[in-house]
Amino acid sequence: MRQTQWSDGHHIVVFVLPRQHPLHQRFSKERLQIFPYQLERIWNKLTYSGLGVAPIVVNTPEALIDAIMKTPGAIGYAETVADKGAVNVIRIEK
Amino acid sequence: MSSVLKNNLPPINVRPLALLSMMCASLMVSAYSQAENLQVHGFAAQGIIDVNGSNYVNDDGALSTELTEIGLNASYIITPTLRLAGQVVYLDGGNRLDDGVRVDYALVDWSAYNSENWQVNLYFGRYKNYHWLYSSTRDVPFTRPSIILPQSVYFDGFRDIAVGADGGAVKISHSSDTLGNFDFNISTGSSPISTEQTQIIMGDHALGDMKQTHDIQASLYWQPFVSPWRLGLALLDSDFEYNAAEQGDFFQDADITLQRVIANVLYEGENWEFSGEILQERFVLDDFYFEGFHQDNIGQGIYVQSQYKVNKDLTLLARYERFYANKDDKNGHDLEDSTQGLIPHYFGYQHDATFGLSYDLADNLRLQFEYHYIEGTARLTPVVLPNPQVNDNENWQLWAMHLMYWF
Repeated sequence: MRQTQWSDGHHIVVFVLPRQHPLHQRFSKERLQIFPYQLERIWNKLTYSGLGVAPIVVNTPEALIDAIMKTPGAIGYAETVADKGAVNVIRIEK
Repeated sequence: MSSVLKNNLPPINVRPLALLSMMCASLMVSAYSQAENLQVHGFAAQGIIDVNGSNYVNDDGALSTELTEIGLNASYIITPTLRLAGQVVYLDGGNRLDDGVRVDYALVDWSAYNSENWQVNLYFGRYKNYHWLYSSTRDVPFTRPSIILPQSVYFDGFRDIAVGADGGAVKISHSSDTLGNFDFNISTGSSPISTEQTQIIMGDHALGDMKQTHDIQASLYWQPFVSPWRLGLALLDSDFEYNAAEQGDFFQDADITLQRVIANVLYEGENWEFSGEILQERFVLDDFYFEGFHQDNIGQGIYVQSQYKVNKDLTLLARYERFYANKDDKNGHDLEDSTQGLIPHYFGYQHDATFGLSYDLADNLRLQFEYHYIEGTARLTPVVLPNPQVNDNENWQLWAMHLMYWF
């Protein structure tokens, strides 16, 4: 989770939804096994102390998918995905 | 079960959760690919603070608006392994600290090694103190549990010296699926000390210059795998030199040494949080009042606190803290005797009971309120020549309200 580069050397750009968004809350707790406020705390420390780069917050799931499509090295999450061209999708099921 | 789906697949509309990635760097370079290299963030906070019975914020005891924190930062990724970052802050805390604009950090971050389980970063320039629970963001209001941090560890009088330094820092992180996360930090450098900061420590009679000649700090944090607990240990060794003014200075040339050991623990549950730090610090003064003067004190402090999230917007805080300037003189009577009563015994300790609440008015807008009941005055400034004329109460109180916005 702390990796900042892909294996090919490219920078990982992380996109997330706002902290109160239900999908962000679910992804954080179920997949990352961390409470959203803990993530926010880690990211605030990175952003406001110079230690690193926090994820970029986008407002809607659609904007998140759009941002990932347009950004080399990007990663994010979504509930449903239509045909998104060159985006790689890793399907997660319980 | 997870499955990786390749590019150009047919539409899939029913999916519980999906991880998306765009790893083909050569495709679709757009405005985003430039914009994500530059990030700009900031914060602004204004509050009111009322102190009864001490000069912690002001000398007249009136309700004060000297509770302002404003910051703006930027981070620019030059290459995947090289980054520039900087932050400028404006602070006004009344007597608590040197007010004005300052460069909080300005550094080059070199990601020297990066793999799935190991990250090594080197920072050069002005870096923050990354070693204690809240030290790296002590001026960033929404990252703190309270408006006023526990003064045993986060003594405002030492803020400018403890907040960071000019030099280099290394951070080594390791993640293990069995042992958990480890973070090791080491830094060495020195902090510029302004005339106002010198007088905050020593008093208005100090006319000379103070400079930090040596500072090395290290810390290790461990969070067991998928555990709500995190444990930390931090060490500090720092030397200062005071060069007295040629005429009219109350003090002589002097050497000062500060050494600290801090251990901390943090528990982060869904609704409850517990944390605390325990501190031992050695404060050595040589010469100073007269040639041959020597003082070697060991101070001790501890605070424990709990936060309870009532709902997604409201969080309550309770904290108790104890601090002794000299562990061998916990009631301060030796201090009073050695100064023939000039410095009252209650300058030997400072204990603080705090209650607070914070309410999120919007995603990035928070209102905080807190009340402190304090016994003793050991963490008031000036440190070296205290001011018992103004601080003539053993018990004093403060309350504060702070409105903060960040982006």
